[in-house]
Amino acid sequence: MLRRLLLALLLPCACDPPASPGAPPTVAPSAAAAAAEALDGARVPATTLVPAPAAAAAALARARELVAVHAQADPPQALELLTATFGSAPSDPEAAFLLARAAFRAEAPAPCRTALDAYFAHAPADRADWSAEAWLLRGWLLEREGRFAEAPPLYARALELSPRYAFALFRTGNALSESGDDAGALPWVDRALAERPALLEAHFLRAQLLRRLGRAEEAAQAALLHKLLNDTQDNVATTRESVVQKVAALEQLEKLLPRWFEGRLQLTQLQLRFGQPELALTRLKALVVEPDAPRDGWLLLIELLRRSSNDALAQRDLAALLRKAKGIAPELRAELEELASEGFPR
Amino acid sequence: MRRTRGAIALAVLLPLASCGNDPVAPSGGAGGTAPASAAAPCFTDVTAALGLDFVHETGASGQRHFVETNGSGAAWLDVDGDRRLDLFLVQGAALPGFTATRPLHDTLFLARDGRFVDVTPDAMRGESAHGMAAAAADYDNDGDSDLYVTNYGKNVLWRNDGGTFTDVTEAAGVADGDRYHSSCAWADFDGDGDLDLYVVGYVDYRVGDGKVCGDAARGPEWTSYCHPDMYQGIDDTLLRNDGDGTFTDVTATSGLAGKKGKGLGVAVADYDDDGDLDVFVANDADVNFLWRNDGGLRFTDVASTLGVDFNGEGRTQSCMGAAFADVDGDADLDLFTVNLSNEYNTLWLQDGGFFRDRSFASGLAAPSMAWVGFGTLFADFDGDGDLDVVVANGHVLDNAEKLLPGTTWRQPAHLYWNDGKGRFTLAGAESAGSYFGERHVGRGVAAADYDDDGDLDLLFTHNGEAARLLRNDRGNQPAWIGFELVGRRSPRQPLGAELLVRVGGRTLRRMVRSGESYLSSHDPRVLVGLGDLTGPVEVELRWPSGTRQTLHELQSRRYHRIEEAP
Repeated sequence: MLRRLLLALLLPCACDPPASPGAPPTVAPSAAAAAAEALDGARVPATTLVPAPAAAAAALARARELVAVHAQADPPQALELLTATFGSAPSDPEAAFLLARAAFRAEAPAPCRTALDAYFAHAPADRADWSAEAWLLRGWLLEREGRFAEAPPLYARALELSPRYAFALFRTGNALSESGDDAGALPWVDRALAERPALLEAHFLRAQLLRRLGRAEEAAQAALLHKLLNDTQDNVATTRESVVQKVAALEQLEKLLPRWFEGRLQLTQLQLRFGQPELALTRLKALVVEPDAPRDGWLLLIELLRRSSNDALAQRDLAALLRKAKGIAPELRAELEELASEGFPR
Repeated sequence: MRRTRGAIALAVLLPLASCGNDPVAPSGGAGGTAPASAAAPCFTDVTAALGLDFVHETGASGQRHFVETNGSGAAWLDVDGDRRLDLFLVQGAALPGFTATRPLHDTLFLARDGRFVDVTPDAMRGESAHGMAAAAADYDNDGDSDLYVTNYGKNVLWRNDGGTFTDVTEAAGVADGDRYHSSCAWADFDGDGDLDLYVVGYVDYRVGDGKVCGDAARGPEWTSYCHPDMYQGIDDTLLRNDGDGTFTDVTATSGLAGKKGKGLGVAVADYDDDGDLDVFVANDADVNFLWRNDGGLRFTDVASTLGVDFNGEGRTQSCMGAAFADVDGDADLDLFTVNLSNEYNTLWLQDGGFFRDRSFASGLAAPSMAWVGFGTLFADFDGDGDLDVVVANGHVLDNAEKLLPGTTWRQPAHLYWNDGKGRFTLAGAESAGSYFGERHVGRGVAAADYDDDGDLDLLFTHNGEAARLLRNDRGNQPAWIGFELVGRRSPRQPLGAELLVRVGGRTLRRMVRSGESYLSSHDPRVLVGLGDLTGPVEVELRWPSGTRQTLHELQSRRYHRIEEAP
């Protein structure tokens, strides 16, 4: 029960855009202020506190933890901490950004708006990822007020900064759909899924859009994907039936969503847990040679190879896989090649 | 045929101007909709004044048997035909490790001489199973209300024999096995003129199954009730009324078989306006069901097709109570579930035959995030012509404070005012009543105009606490109209019948409640607040038999008893 409750805390926000450090700042404060003026939602009075550097650093460090996506996240506490330390309209951009994020996740729209105003007044040039999320939150706030038609331009601002931002793509689709444009929404949802193949809410919306557009067969397929993804998540059960259901879902998804590496890794880990290392190894070998295979896949593979009783064979396997693999980050490739040539640490 | 004000109301009538500091402002806005705060009613707790003395017992001993936490419900019904609503309250039971210090049984209170009097020993055998829900209805069409009670274990059907009840469960064939049941609902699903029965199954759980959740290694105070994920869901059951006092289990042929949900709430309505009654089942941490009635007692689950299997984020929720209502006044039925904390309460608006999650835009989501909702129902509590909503809250973990710091076991109930367009505002205790500033382990909510004064009163059940009765003191508001429907081709008590009330250029869609809320059943009459709508009142009745009937020039400020046209 506890775990389930804590998991629920994680669900609403996994909204970080892909980091794109160095992206040009395209949100000038004046433009942001103009956009903010167009939003007439309630705000809390803007107050700005300037804490001592040590206190500021400590508060930011704690706040980062409290709004991160993990079981110990506590957005209301982050909201309280940041407001007490920096005021409702921090002049520190990170504080303003974290405050907006915490307020949104704590279902506190007015503090969120005020913090977003503060953020855009001091938006740093080198944090396009923060700015993209800030625009996303601004649009999402409007959606939550039922002002769906006003949200897409704000998501567009997010996408200018971070063109592959799956949540901004998805929310654009959602806002268009809620505004009555189901046909216009669909491509946005498809783009979101291209970036994040397992985005649960996007699969759900896609199924609904297709149904409303009269494309029943495609809708059924989309609904199946959504259901399978749901079966792999959000279930704390340890009963045999639930584990079997989860494994079955992951196996189907491996075929239906081959680019969902995280799911394939989950399946591999379940196989290890249930004493099937050979199957897990086979699966991993197939996974790591695919373009953009995740680092975690390689790490798990190394761990399995390391347990092999035949070092030479393991090294040969690794070398062969490296020859086939595409798109490995240079640093990771260097590490792997070293292992392949020098053997595995014991 | 005006119903007289009940003796109970006269005996304890308190000053009506006891609505705190609420200004009584003239109503305004389009369509006669008043600003919510301007015409706010004030609920007054009359539990003690009316002698309603019922304390629910969970049977808890610290061993945390799963069945302890879900509470029990209540049913309003006229037992003795005196046209006053009586009250049946469902009781828990002793569980392993617990020693009862008083007799524990379901309890029947009759409205007598201005008070509620416990008549259980005389009127019915005190049923001592671990009780869950109660649903009152005249299943045998003999003019009085019978009772179906679901249990952890076998269910019980009580036939009303003129004011006393006889257990006819075995003869009727409705025990539904030794299973963990939750809510239930009566409705004429096959249109044959009698009431069939939908029984919701929860999970495959046995007391003493040995499952211990939480962190037992840290000590017993760190254990918790297990999550429903730890159990398999079970089938719901559909029982066809054969019209001769017996029922046939038609689950296998109805399309329901094999759909194992973890049902807690049920609501019945003709959501698709095709003339038959459909069923929504709110499942706990599992996908919801929306059973479309295809005729011939065949049902198809269209929850996925219509978008109510998951919330709008595509996630399952731990749904407890459920209700259908036309919340935005567009004459189609919308759907609401109340859920676990951190899972907002979900309002789906019907739009072009599909449902869209508009929880946040409606104002119902954000205020619900911190609370665990169970009972819920829509009603026009302030009589302004739109449907407000009440939610009973209470956590599922009796040690929530310890396990989830910042969370509490006891929680405040919520009352939300509707602005007439489907946007809701949470009422504070100062306008809703002091009860809404208190904290309880809320479970069921059952609504009735027990004092016949033209507004709906509320009975709350609490897990391990006394039930509380709140009188609605909005009686000084200007206009309302009530209906008591009597079926001929339809069941005598036509649960699920719909009314389209046309007045002042507006159409108000209301219905005779079947199911709704959580473990509870309600006043079988329909009460419609008219606010400042003026002009002739016309009502179109849609009976479960398919009969359409229109009545004109109805007088407001009274109940109308209407028999189904031949």
